[in-house]
Amino acid sequence: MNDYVIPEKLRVVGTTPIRPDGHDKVTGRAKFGDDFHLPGMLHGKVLRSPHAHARIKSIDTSHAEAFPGVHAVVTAADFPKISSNVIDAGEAGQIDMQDVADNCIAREKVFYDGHAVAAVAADNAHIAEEAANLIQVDYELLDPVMDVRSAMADNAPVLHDDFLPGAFLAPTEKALPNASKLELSMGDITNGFDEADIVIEREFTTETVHQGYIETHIVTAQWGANGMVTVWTTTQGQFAIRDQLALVLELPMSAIIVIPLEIGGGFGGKDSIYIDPLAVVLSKQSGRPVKMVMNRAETLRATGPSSGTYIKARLGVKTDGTLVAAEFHGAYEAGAYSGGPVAPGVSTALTRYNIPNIKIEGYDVLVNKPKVKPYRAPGATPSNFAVETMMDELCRELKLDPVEFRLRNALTTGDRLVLGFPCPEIGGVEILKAVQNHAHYQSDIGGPHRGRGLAYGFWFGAGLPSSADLMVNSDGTVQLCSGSPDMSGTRITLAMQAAEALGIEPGDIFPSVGDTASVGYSFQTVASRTTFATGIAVYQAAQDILAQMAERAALIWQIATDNVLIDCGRFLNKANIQQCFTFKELAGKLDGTGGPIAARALASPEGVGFQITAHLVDLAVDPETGKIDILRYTAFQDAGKAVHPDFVEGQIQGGTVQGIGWALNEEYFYDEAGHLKNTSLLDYRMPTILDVPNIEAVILETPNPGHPYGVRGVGEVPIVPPAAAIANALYDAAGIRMNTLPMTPAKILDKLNSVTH
Amino acid sequence: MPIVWIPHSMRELTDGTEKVAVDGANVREAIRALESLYPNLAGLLIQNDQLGKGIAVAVDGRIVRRGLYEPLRSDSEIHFIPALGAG
Repeated sequence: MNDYVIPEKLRVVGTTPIRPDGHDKVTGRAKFGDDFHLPGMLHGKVLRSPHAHARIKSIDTSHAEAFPGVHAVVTAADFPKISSNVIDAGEAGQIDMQDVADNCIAREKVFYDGHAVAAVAADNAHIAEEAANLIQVDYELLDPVMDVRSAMADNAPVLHDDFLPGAFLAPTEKALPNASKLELSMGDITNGFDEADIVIEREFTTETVHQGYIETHIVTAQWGANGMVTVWTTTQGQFAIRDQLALVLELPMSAIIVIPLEIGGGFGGKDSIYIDPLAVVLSKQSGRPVKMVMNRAETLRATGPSSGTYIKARLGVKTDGTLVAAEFHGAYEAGAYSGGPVAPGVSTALTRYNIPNIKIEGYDVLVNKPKVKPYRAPGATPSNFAVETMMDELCRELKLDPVEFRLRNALTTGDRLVLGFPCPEIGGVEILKAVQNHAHYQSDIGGPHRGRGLAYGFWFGAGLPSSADLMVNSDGTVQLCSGSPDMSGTRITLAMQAAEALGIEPGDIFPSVGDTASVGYSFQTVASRTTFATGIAVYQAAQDILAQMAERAALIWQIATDNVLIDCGRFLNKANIQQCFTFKELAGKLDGTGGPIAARALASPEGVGFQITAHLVDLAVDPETGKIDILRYTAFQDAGKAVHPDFVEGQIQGGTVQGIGWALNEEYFYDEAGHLKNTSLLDYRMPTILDVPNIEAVILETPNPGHPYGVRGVGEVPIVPPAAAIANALYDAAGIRMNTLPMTPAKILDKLNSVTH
Repeated sequence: MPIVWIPHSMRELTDGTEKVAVDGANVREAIRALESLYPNLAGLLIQNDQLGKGIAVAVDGRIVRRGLYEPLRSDSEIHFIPALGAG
């Protein structure tokens, strides 16, 4: 695998041009899911389970079918039982498609409050909703299990009778009713703790949270007369939606076209199907296009939240501050079907420290909640909260500066990861020194009830397949089409990389996002991968364009192609440098020298640059109410190379705000029967602009040799440390250690009162 | 010869051995060679002729896309790791 020679000076990468999609988005012209309409379109609505766990004894749809204005009604009986049920999801492992299908529409049992049971297509959404409510479902109620410890207990209610626990690389044993186990280790944990002078052991819990994208799930589907299916949807991956639909509906992938519309937030939660197959089958049955829009309550009840967790950890340190042993036990909710973020959650728990003796146990636990979905560095925020608050406790015990302590134990390039292999280029030490030297760290905190906290965070990121097409127009402009939906300004970051490689201006590149019939396969816009991996596809396509254009210059000058020098958008005859074409001049000659030029590249890069960050926060806590006010926040992050620094800053700020919400406010409230009680954004309380100060982003650049311009992913790691940083600041302010998320005013007040009395 | 690092949970099948040198031009061949030394290992790593569910492979410090078909050098290091996924 290549390591790239990264240019010392870059002309376009690192600048901040205006994004081409910005104007349409701020003026409301951009087409999001709900902006899409077709003539003759019907509207679909879903009947959802009011129970958290129940067996479906019968479904009577007759009253709904007879309701005026209804054109189609579907239940699981209208969907095939899948024959080939496991698909490869790259570095994400494999997905059981029968689980995906059953999550879209319940077959024999409902597994959570809000699980889809039937769907109706009608002339309008109101008729569809009214008709859906006429469907009669006879349920046999079963006991729900709502948290990981209950689910792993002896005699816990079993969700899936045929559940086969997966044990990572070990013979499977059904030792636990609803859980799969993962173990990792390095060194000798017993000897490690024997070496330690101080050992602390703590327990933590965190609650289920949602990604909180503002645009809900919206899809329009049309089953064509020729059997071709077209789907317009808001998604992080048009190919993922196509492939999942094909497998769930047992259709050829080539018979489905998925057209990605603009996306109003995803954060990992829009990488798979929910209402999509329902809309397709309703369209097939009605012979009309069908649009389905999830409302907020449906989105919260039935789409992928992130796991609640139970964590128990033990750390051992010598009196000189050297970490010698760590044990981490993390149980993560999977929701109704297995496959939560336990692997990344526990794998990142300690990865940023060089600890010689580690033992990790992770559990993926079935509970009667929606199937969890990735959420920005999935699984890492809870594990970081646990470990970083314990690190803070050790610093205080040892009377060590928190940055010095972390510097003493920081993972550096070449150190072995708990996964076994050596750490690639990483700039953790640079991050920590930047904290140390920053004015925020050196400032006085000022005032009573105020505190400062630090937390250090890590995330892997991923490569995975990406495609990019480039086509040179005769006026020297270039069309760029990728298969990566633009969630965060990636149209411009890809255009900038194309411009850098081609030696032209980013304004001369027109970037777009292709549908599944018009561009090569791309994995979803997830895993902080688009600017990195799709950027490499763009770079490779640009090299192809340059090579083809050099051939045209050679043809014109009647010289060998090797004698054409390509230099920053110019093509020169090496033997006579007076002979020179600019990119634009040569583009104008393509028609007469063999026709237009285009290039396609499909890349699956492996040289992923790890993400490392440190967050520093000042806060004030009101001793009367327990309310926290964030006073100052600085996030330090290694971008490898910030292609567009404004958008890196935006990612850092956005991820941090989501982390603050996770820390202080956000949680699912279920009653004892498993009903979700806070199904609106009034009650599911995300931070607003009034809740957070400006978040200063300090961007550092330790180049990733696995990318031609040194790029690392940046989108995920900012959500990792906020909870721990805030918890540490709260201890500094009030002397209380929180071991649960969210740290609501009520919990803080309870803790303050328990300390005072 | 390439070195296979045995994951913690599999070491009961290798009598506690952590690293094993095996012949093999690619990951698949290395696993087959490993199996001849330690029966039952391959069944955990390969299922339906592909890497088992939830398993990824890192060769020489990189999580590789070619999985079982990733070529090995004579001094390659092979690690079997949990598939990580992301959002």
